[in-house]
Amino acid sequence: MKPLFHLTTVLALMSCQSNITAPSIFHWQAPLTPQQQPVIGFGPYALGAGCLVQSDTNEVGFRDTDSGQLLWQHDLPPGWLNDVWILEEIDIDPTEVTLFGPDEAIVFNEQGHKRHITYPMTSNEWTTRMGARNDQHWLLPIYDGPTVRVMASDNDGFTWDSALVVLNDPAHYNIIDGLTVTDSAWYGTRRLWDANQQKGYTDVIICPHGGQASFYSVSQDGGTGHPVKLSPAGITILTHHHMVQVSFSGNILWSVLLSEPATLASFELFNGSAYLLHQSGQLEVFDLSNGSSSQHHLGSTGMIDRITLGPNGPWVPWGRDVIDLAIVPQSMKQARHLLGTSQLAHPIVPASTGIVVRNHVYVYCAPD
Amino acid sequence: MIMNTQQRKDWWSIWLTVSIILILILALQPQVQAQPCSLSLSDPEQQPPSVFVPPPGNASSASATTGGLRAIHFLHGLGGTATSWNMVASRTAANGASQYPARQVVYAQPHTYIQNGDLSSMGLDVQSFLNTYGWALNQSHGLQAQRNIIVTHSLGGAVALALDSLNTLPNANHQAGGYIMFGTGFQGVHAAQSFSPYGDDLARAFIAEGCQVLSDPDVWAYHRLPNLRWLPNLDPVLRAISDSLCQTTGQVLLPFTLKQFDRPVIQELVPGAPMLDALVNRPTGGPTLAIYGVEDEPVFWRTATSMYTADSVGLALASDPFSMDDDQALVDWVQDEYDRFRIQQFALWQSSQAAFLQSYHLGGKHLLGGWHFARGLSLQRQSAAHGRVAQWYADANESYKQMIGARVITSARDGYWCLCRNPMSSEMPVAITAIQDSSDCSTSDPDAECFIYPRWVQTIQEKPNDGLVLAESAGLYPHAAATILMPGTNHQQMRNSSVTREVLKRIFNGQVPNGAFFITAPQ
Repeated sequence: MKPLFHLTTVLALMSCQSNITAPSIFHWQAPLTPQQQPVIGFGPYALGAGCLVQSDTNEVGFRDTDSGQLLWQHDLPPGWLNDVWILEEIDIDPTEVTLFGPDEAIVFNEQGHKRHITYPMTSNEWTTRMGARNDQHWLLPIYDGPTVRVMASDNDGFTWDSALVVLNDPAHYNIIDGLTVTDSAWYGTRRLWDANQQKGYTDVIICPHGGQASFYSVSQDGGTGHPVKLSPAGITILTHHHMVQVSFSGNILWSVLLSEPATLASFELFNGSAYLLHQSGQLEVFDLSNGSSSQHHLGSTGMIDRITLGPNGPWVPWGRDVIDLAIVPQSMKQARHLLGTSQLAHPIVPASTGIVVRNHVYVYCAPD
Repeated sequence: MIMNTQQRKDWWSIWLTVSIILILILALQPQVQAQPCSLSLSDPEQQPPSVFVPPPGNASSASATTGGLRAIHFLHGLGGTATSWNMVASRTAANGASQYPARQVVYAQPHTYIQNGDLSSMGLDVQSFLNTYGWALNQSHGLQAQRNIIVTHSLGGAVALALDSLNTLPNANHQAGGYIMFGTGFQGVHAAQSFSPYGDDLARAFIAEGCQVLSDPDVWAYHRLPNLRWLPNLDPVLRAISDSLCQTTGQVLLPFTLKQFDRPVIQELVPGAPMLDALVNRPTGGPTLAIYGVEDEPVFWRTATSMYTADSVGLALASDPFSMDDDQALVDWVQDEYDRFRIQQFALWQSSQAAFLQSYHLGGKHLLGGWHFARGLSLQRQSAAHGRVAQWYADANESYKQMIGARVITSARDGYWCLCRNPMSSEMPVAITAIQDSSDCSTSDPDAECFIYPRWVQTIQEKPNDGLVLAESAGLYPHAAATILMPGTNHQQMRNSSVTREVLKRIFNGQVPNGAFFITAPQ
C-alpha cells in the first residue's frame, strides 16, 4: 500500500498545479481553459493579493499573482464569459470585484465567496450596466424609454431606492453614466442629445446620499461617459472636447480644450496629474491644480478600455506592450514594457514580481 | 446413418447457423413489427392542432425615448449587396454573437441600390425603399422614423448623405434620425482617381508589372527548360505556366476588383468632386458617427488578405460575424516569397560567376568554354529576373500606397548648392556647401571659381489609411457628432472585425460622445 500511497500523493500534487507552467521569460503562465483553446477571455482584475481571471469555459477563478496558483473558482451564468466586459461593467475595489451583468450583479471576495445582487428592474426596464459600487453603496442606471433613473442602495443591494429620475422631453435623449460613489455622496454625468438643436450637452451630477441631486453644466458637448474621477482637488470630468475640473460644490475650477476630441479615450489620476490617452496614441498630462497640460505621443494607435494604476503610475496595455504612462514624458523607450507575442487584453494587474496580463489563450505574469 | 467426422462438423455448423437465425428472429420480432417495410396508407392519428394566440401589439408612444425598439437600415459599399451587412444586422436584431448582445432592433435594407448612376440616383433609390418597405416596417412595429439609424460602409456613407439631403425637399419623409458611417471617404478617395480606367488607370499598370515580373520565364521555367526557352512558342507548357501564374497573381492582387472602379459614381468620389463636397458640407439631419480605420503595415498585403479571404469566411462569419481579424496570411507569404527569390537571385549569381570562371579557364575557343560562357549569361539573366521579383514584392506596398494617396513623394526647392573649384590647388579641388541665398556662394580662395545649382529636397509623407481610404478623409466629417478610430483595421475588415464588435457595443451602450441618441436597449 505504501508505494500506492506515494503515487497517489504525487498525482494529487500534480493535479493541484492547475496547468501552471513557468517558461523562462514569464514568472508563471496558465491557460484560460484546460483545453487551451482561444477564448474571448475575462480578466485579470485585481482582487486582494490575487486576481480574478477566466479559469475554464464558463468559470472564473482566483489566482495568486505571485505564484499563479489557482485557489478557487466559480461558474458564471450562461453567456457571461462570451461578453466583452468594458468600462464600469466591472467594479474593482481592494477586497471585492463586482460584475454588473444584464439583470443581476455578482460579487466575489478574496476568499471565494460569491454573492448575487438582483437589480430592481421590471420587465420593460434595462440597464447599460455602467454601475458603480463602494462598499455598501450601489448605483445603477435604469432605462425604460421615456425615463432614465438612477437606483441606489445603501445596504449592499438589499433594498433599492430611486435616487434620480430624468424624463426625456420631446426630442431630448438622456443618458446617465460616469457614476462614482463615495461614503458621503455620488457623482456622475448626465449627457443629453437635443435632436432639435442637433447638439449635445454634459452636466455633472453631485448628490449627497439621501439628499437632492444637483446638476452643473460643464460642457456644451456630448461628453464621453467616462467615469468621473475624484481627488482632493475636486471632480475631474472628461468631455468630448474638454478636460474639466469641478469643485465639490459644483464650480468649474478650470476647463481645458483637448488637443484632439476624446472618443474612446481613457484617463486616470496619479500624483496630482490626470493622464489622458487617446486612441491615436496622443497622451495629454494635466496638472490637476491649474489645468496646465503637456502632450506626448506613444507612436502608434490602439484601443483603450481602462487605465490601471500600477505601483509607479498609470499603466495601459498597448498592442503587445504595457506602457507606463508616467514615464512617457521622460522616455518612451523606458516606459514600454515588452510583455507578449500577441495582442494583450485590456485588463492588467500589477504584481510584486511583474505584471499579470492575458491574451486569448493564457494568463501570465511577465517580468516588470 | 453413420456420419463421418467431416459430415458431423458440417451438420453442427448448419444447426448452429439455423439456431442463431431463429434466436435473432425471436429476439428482434418486436422491433421488426414496429418498423413496417412500406409506408402505411392509413391516415395517421390526428393530433389536436396547437393554437397560437398572438399577443396584443405594444406600439410605443411618439416621444423621444432613450433606448427602446428602433429600426436599423444597413447600406453596403461599392460593389456590395445587402449580404455585406446581413450577418451583423441579423445578429444585432436577434441572438447576438460572442461578446455582442442582441439589441431591441428590427432591420431592413435594400438588397442593393442603383450602382450604375450617380450619388443622387443612389440616394433616391434608397429613399424609395425606405418610403415603402421602411415605412411599412415602422407602421407595423410602431416605430418613430426619426429614432431609426442608418449604418453604412464606404460608398454607402456617401449614399446616406445624398439620402439625407433629400429630406430638405418639401413633404419629405425622414426615415432615420442618426447615422453610423464606417470608412466613408468624406474628403474624397484618391483610389477613385488612380484606379479608375477613366482616371490614372494605375491599378492595371500595377498588376501588369507584377504579372510581368512574376511570369518571366527566367523565373518560373529556368529549371525546366534551361537551354531551350529562347525559342519562341517552343513549349506550350511553358506558356501555360506563365499564363496561369499571372492569372492567379492577378486574382490575388487585383485590388478590390478593378471592375468596380469603372462605374460612373467613381467620378463623384475623387477628392474635390463637387457633389461629394456639397453633401459633406451640409449637416445631416441627425447625429452622425464617422468611423475610420488605420491599418498596420504593410497595408497593401493586409488589405489584399482581407479582400482575398472575404469570400471564404462565409461560414466563419455565420458563426461569428466579427471574426474577420486575421490579415496576416499574405504578409507572411510575401515575406517568404521575397526571401526565396532573394536567395535564388544570390545563388544564381554565384553560379553564373562560377560558369564565367570555368569559361575563362577553358578559353573562349574551347567548345566547353563557350558553353560555360553561354550558361553564365543565362544564369546571370535568371538572377536578374529573380531580383526583379523580389524587388516587386518589396516595393508593391509602397507603390500601392502611392496609388491610394497614403504615400506622397514631393520635391521642393531648398536653396542652392554652392560649388567652388580651384583647379590649381593640390588640396581637395571642389568644395560643395548648401546655401539658402545665391549671393552667399563665395570662397576665401582668390583662385577658386564658384558655381550655384538649385538644391532640391525630396520628402516622403506617409499617411494613415485603411488600405483604401485615408484616415484624413474617412475621419474628417465636419458635422460628425463623434469620430471613432478603429486601429489595426482595414477597409474590408471594418464591417466584421472584433474591433467592429467593440465599437458597436460601445455605440449601442451609449459609451461614445453624443451617445445618448444611439443607446439601444439589449434584448
